[in-house]
Amino acid sequence: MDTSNVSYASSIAAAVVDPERELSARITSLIDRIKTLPGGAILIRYIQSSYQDDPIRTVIEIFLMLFAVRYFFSKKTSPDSKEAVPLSEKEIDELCKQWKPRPLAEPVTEAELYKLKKIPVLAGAVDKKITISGENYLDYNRQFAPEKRYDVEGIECPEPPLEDVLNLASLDFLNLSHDPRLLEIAANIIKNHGVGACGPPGFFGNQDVHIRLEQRLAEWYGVDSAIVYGQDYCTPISILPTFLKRGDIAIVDAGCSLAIQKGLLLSRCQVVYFEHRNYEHLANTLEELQEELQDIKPLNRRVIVSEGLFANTGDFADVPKLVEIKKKYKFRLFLDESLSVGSIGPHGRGVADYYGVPASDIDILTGSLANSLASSGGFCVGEKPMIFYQRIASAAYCFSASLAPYSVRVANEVIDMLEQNEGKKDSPLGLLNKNSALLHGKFSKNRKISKYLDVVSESGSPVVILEFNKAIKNKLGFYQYYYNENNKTAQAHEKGMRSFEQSGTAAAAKPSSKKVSESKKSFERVDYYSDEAVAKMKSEASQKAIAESKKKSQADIHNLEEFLISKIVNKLMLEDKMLIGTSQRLLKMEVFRVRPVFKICLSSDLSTKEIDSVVEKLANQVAGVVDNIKCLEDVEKLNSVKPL
Amino acid sequence: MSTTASAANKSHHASLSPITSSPKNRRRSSSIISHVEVESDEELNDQNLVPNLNANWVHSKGAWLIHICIILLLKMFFNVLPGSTTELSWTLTNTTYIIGSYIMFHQVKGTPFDFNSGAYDNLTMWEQIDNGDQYTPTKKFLFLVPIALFLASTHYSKYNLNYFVFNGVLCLIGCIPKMAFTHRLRISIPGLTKANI
Repeated sequence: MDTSNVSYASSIAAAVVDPERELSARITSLIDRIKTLPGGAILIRYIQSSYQDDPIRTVIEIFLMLFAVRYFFSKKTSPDSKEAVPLSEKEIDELCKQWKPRPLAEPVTEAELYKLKKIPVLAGAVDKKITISGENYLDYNRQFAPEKRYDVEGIECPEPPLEDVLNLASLDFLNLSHDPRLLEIAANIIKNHGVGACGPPGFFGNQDVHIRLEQRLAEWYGVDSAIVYGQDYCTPISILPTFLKRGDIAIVDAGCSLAIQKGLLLSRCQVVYFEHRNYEHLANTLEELQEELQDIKPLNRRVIVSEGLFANTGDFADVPKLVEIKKKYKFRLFLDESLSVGSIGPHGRGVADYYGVPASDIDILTGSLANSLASSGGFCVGEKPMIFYQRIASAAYCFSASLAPYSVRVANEVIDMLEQNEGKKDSPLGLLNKNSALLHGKFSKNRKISKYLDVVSESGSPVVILEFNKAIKNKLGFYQYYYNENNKTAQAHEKGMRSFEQSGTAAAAKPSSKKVSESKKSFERVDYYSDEAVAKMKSEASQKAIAESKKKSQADIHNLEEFLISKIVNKLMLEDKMLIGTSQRLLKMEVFRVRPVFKICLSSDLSTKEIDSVVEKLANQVAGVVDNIKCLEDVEKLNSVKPL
Repeated sequence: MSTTASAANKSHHASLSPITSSPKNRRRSSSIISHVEVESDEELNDQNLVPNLNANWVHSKGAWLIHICIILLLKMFFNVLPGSTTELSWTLTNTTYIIGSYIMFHQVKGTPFDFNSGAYDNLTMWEQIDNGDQYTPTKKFLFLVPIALFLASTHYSKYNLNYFVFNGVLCLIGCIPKMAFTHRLRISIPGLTKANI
């Protein structure tokens, strides 16, 4: 057994030695063969030199190489591909058949039809006295009239135009759009410069007059620089997204106009609203945001957004307070003076001027050339870098055609005129201020008016805004304000406003020593956008809906209130030959609370007699219409049966 | 079908709402590792508005070539430095390239151009390339460059253990953030970086 064992072991040893030699011989021959291949010699030299007497390093390198090769041969993957469900051709066809596109605009309902028909079509120019053509507006009313008009050949002819209507719906407050001197200047500019290059300002659109107006505006406001836009509505819409983007924050007055709302929507920044003209709410909101804002790095842009003279409510923003708050919390201030430029302030520069705040304290100040300045377009004034940035980054400036040179020249001329007439009582601005104070006084003192209507706007505003008072609203079943029940943002906004109102009144009821801590506690940050908050709101709303199942939706009642206002305005126009404005809104498009109102736009050349008659006639018409209505159903009947 | 309906509903609200995703970014977690959430429909819409100039240039052949040119120039520069040895110059070349490309591809977020209202603000340039697709030709090339650089440097120099380990770690720093599993991954070190994305 032993010997056999030994011989077996030795045979194994021999077998072990032999393959080793064989292997090395094979490897050498393999290396020789590789060396004969093209590039083989280089590969062998590479491996030999990188071996460096350390097999572990070689192993690491080979591993790394394999890793690279594996990466190189991996197939392309897409993050979306995991979620995508593969569909067969047939399934795709079926899905396409099932798909029904929603209409781009929802069809106008019978109850809303008056909104289209009530829009008056003017024949001729916009002046103090206007002519209303029979085309749209009067035709609609005529279909309810007992007798129709026919001409000699028996063809139905439209209602004759309504002449000599007193225009109280124009924003041309200084009534300069028909000034013969300005018309002559415009004509001369058209002869010299043509009607504009039709190009964007940076692309042959700007001519010498544009540069002069920009210099003039900067000089007038006492700031570094100014920029002129082709359209006033686009000015805030374009400027807000220029400076704000995701991660930036805007604190916005809840009464701001549509242009600001749309601008903020486009900018994608975080928007926080404070109650309209409630600067305590603003300060509290900012205080509550402080902790959060301190963490943000890199620093984001923070802007307080407000209008000077609010287009929807006709009241003034407290600009000194806004400036104080923005300085305290290191925010920037965006102020839209579209309505107030040329109509408010001792120099006519707007609400900031009215309060004596220098324009340099307002970081971004925008305005309109189209209202009081009797021209067209918008502008922005401020520091040089801020303006310069707009020239390369503001969409409406870069891509939209620049203002026609004659409009530019006219605006320049009106600014000169305002500066020359500073402080004069018989200047257009002086007369306008006198008229607005007079009309406000008349409306607030008139007993007949105050029985039906409340004045919303502030004294001094060139637009007088009136709404039905509480008694009438209660009698007819209207709400104090309306909000869009079907929109998440509007719901969140409404929820926030309600909790603020409740906490505000609760804090006010407490003794003053407790007030601060109490109010601070109530301003704890609540996410009104969270799903729970929305669900809670919905369940509350549904409970309310069950309780008031007979009542109509907010949108329906809003429509009826607007209809009633339109009816009064229509009667005033047809019977008394006075055209005043109304608010015209679709509740489904709104984010904020809305209140249907009458809007009376003043102009500088109204006589005291005319102002008296406006108050008298409006009071009579409101009384005539409202006295015959007992409840909401009556308004509904009016809308479905009778003309406006 | 129900999922698509809810998605459509969501996007409808998103387009009406001026508030964007910013509350989502404030998410604070105790975890060191977190993932950037998938964009909302509104953000995706903004991302697709215009071609992403920040990420698209890497596809051009010149952009590939420039990596090799920069490495060669760096090597030449470090070669002529006084007192430079082969090992040191290779290590310095490696270090400069890896740190430079790390900052460019994995550190800086967002785009320098303001065309998307900040829709790319949460994404690094590597995550923006090819809209987040993995194993595309450009990504393969950029992944292979640090490995090739490391292999070349070990080949042409005689690293001691310290040099080898240093260069090896650098190579990993260049490779790991480029791998598929690190897509949208964020590592926050308490006290050094902010927990929020």
